[in-house]
Amino acid sequence: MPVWHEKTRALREAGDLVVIGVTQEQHPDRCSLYAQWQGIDWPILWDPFNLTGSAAVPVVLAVDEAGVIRPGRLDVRRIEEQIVEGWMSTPPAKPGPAARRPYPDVVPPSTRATARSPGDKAQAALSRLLWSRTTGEERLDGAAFADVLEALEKAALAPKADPALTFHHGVALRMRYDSEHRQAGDFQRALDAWMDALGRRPSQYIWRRRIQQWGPRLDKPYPFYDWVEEAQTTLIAAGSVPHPIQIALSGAELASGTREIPIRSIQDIHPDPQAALKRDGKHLVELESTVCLHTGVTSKRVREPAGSSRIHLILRPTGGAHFEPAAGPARIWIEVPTGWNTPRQLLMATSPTDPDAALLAEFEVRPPQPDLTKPPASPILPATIHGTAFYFVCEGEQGECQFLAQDFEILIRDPRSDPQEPDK
Amino acid sequence: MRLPVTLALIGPLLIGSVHSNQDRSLSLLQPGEALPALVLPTIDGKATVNLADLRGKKVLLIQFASW
Repeated sequence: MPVWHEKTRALREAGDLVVIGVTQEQHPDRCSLYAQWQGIDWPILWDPFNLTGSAAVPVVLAVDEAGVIRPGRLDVRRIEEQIVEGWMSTPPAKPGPAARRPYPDVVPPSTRATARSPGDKAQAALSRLLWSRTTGEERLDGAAFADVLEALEKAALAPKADPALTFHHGVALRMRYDSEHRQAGDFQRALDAWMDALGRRPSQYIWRRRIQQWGPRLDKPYPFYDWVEEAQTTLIAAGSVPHPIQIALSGAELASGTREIPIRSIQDIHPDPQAALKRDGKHLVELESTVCLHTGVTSKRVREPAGSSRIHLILRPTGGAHFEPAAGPARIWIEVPTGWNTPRQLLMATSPTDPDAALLAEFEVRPPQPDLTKPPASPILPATIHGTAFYFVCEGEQGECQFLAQDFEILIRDPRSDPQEPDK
Repeated sequence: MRLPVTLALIGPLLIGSVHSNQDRSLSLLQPGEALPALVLPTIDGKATVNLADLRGKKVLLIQFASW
């Protein structure tokens, strides 16, 4: 986009052209940082639910004075010919057809009429989610999140519902996951919804990218947000305050794609082979795992064996407990099923900078490659990964601090044979 | 035998093409059609834009992601 920004500068400054951006990203703050870094000063609209229905980005469209989208593909290398000499020199277009209103209830909540039908309620839910950041009284609390999720799920589960509605439900679940009202399993259910939607519309690349953002490196077309650090550094060096990133970037969002995850070459040593360390019986730390499968699982073609995935682990202190930063990072030991590959068995979680903050760890697994010349001996999925988390945690302000362990299991399942559970 | 082999080879491409066309037809932003009256907030949350209100101006609509 920086090229389009530069090439249209003179036309914009002369008042001959209006440029409007639309981004379908889940998190608008990242695009805000990008725009700040690139000096983009035209408005960028936030369309996380992909209400425009676009199948892929980038797409650049010329719209004439009549509001009609001009035919033809725009090429930034031919901007002089296509726009400056061509389009700009044509007389104003005649009045065009009336604009359709596909989402009449997706409007700022303060201007919205009461929704009555399920479809209206789903659109009202979308508008609450889109504008909840900006209107203080509309900021969603836990009950409001439950309401909008119920409306969106009901719309998604209606007979013959468009898979876009399932995608919308997933976006809303991820929004709640990013809020203080998150519920265990929100992120997993978001991924399941997106995978379900993608399975029904496989060439929807906006949806596919939403999954791949958090998916395994084997499924990554490019690193998604590896530019963020450079943007922040450049802006600080120039004396600017970078636009804050509200939701921490996961390792998946920074990772590059690869064609082969490395075979384990380091023999890690189990931190507690006798299981002697005291288990976290009081559940001072809540451990949540989320499995992001390779999007190839939605295809009947065997691009990648089902089960190839990236696992996101989050350790959250509960009930006033907190991590002790001086004790170093938490460690995670994982055991994958026989024949499966993962680069390391011993993982380090992110170091706690804030004692109350959650710790993150991510890893990738790949099942054995199927022998396509033989009938499958047994299905690869479901499969279970076993593991143990080791951490130093303190109870309350003056409470005891100790090293504890917590055993866990992660189920990797095929979403095609195990559809998501209804909202509770 | 040549025809079935050819079909087998190009079949997936045809299916892919059908999918692409289906998805294009689902887009609200179709060449030759008016911008829909779709209301969206800006990424900073400070403003709201109705695409249909852009009439009367030459507009370049850029759909992109920051990655």
